[in-house]
Amino acid sequence: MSQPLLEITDLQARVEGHLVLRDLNLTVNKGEVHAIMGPNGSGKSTLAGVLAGNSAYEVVKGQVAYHTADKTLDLLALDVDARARAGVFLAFQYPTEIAGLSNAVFLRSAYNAICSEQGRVPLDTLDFDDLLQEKARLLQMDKGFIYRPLNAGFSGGEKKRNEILQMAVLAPQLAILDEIDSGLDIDAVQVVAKMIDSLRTEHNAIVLITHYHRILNFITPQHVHILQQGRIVASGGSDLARRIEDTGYENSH
Amino acid sequence: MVAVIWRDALKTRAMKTATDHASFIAPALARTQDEPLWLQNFRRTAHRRWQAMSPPTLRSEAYRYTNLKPLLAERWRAVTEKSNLAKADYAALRGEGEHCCVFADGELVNTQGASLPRGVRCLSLRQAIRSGALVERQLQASEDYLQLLNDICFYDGIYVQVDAGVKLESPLHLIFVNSKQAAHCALFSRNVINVARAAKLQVIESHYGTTTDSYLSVVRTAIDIGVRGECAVAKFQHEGRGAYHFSAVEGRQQQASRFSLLNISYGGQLARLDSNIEQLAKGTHCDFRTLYLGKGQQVLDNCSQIKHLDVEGTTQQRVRGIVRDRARGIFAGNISVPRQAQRTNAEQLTKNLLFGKECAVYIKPQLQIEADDVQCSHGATSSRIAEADLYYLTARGISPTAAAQLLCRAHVEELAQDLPIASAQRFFNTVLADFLS
Repeated sequence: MSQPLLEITDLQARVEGHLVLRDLNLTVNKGEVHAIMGPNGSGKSTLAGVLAGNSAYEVVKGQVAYHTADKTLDLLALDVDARARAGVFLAFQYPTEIAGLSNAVFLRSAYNAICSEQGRVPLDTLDFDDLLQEKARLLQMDKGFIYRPLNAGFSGGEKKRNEILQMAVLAPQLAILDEIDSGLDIDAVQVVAKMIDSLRTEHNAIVLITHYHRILNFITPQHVHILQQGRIVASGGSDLARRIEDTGYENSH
Repeated sequence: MVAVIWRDALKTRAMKTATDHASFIAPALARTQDEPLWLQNFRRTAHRRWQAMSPPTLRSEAYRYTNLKPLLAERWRAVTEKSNLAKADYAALRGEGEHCCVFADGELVNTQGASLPRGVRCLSLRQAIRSGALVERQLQASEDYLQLLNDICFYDGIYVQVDAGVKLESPLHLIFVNSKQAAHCALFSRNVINVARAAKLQVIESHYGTTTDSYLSVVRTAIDIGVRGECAVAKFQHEGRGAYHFSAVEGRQQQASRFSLLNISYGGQLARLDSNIEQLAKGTHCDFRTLYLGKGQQVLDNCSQIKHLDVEGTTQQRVRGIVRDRARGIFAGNISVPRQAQRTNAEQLTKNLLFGKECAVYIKPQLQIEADDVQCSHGATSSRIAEADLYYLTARGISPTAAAQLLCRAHVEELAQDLPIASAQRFFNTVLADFLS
């Protein structure tokens, strides 16, 4: 029987005074991959930002219940960092560049913050390096990559791969991937998609926000949703994504 | 001679009540009456020039952002007694492998560490004066109001001579500790360092205060680097909370010499570093790094003047500052490239980070270029922590406080890379941890 991980009910949110999400409802179960597709300005990134806790978005109405192992959390009541420590991960569409902060130092701080929250023993530099190198190896990433300054000087593809490396290390329960395929060539899309696919488990869930069908050639979602004007107007299986590709958003539902 | 100067000092006080802050001059001079005639003349000339000078105000360009009024309002005393600072008070300040000279309340009290190799002469300035090692040409008169007081009143410090070809690989650490006995006193230290042809020296000059009372510490360090010589200096200013610290570094570089200066300014209520570097001959290199971290109501002032006076000199100047609360950070840096300094390559970059609405930084970067075949650049930024950066880090589970700490560390990290004196890394870590806590 499927276990719900995320339940969004009647969610309304606005940005700079404009209502962007309008009574959005969505349930994501553990072990599932959901693809959310929609035209520009439909509210996809707003949904990702609201779930991650970005203060640029104001929630007007609605609830978001997040079911962890032993309790249900009101996700909207948590601060950004608390949401992440509870297992919510947002892969950024435009990851920020921070020269002077190495990937490894940044990720160890994040990893240990989550460890502390979960009552696990934080890792020292050496042990964390072992973990990081192991994850990089599994994702077939160059070892030198992890000691470079955080996203500084990275190509578009490297930034997206770095987001997935972070996801692999932090092992979230709920990963929201905001246009992880944007700006990537077809080979890079395939590489990133395979990396994401390798991180699927029966205990986590992935919400994949995308414009295009092509990444779904490599990750098969159980559910595809069309987001238009701030609400989900159609849901279906992976065939819905193909219909969108063939006929566009307007004629696919 | 001393009596004449002493009379002059009294006369000055009578003439200008504004100089009540300098009532320490006469007793300070009384400690130097056994000095050679040339030095007495040096002090006397400085005293006359100082008498003719008015204290700098906010209208003086060099002190435009640094208000000396509170300093000038205090009635400073001379240090007249030997310090009773215990060895335990400074034992922990020495780093591994360092040769240390400890100055307590302005006077050498202890040396520690391995003996220096042949060809390195390290004396207290008192010894150097007595033995005749210090000669007239090694003292340059100052133009600055407070540094002129140093010319008049300096008592102790270090004298280092590294002979040609001698390379000292472990750092020489000069530790200046000001104790409770220094409260309300004016202290003047002078360091004279000569690195001869193809010689190498690393010097750490650190300043600590164990009292929260106010005191005035004026330090001057002159460094001459011979042809193909290398000298790295790390200055670490961690004076007591009430301290006024004024420090000057004068570097003179001969052909193909390398000079690196790292300045970390953290303590005191008002601290100023004036650095004047002259690249006198062809092919010199200067690596100049400054880190200042201000909190509370601190004022941390950093002035520099780098003069390229011959061809093919290079300078890399990097300044990073972080201020919070109501602190003020100041950077005024000038790199001059006159007509004869062709093929100079100079870069100056200052970046500042502000926390809170009441802190401020004042930046005056300057490049004066008269030569036409040069590569010179400068840049200056001041900003608050970028919300997007903070969001990115917190979205990975890092608390806002820890995220801000990581971003501060990132802001200054470039300065900590490839330090010419590796052990100076611990100063970085110490002050950053304390500042960010």
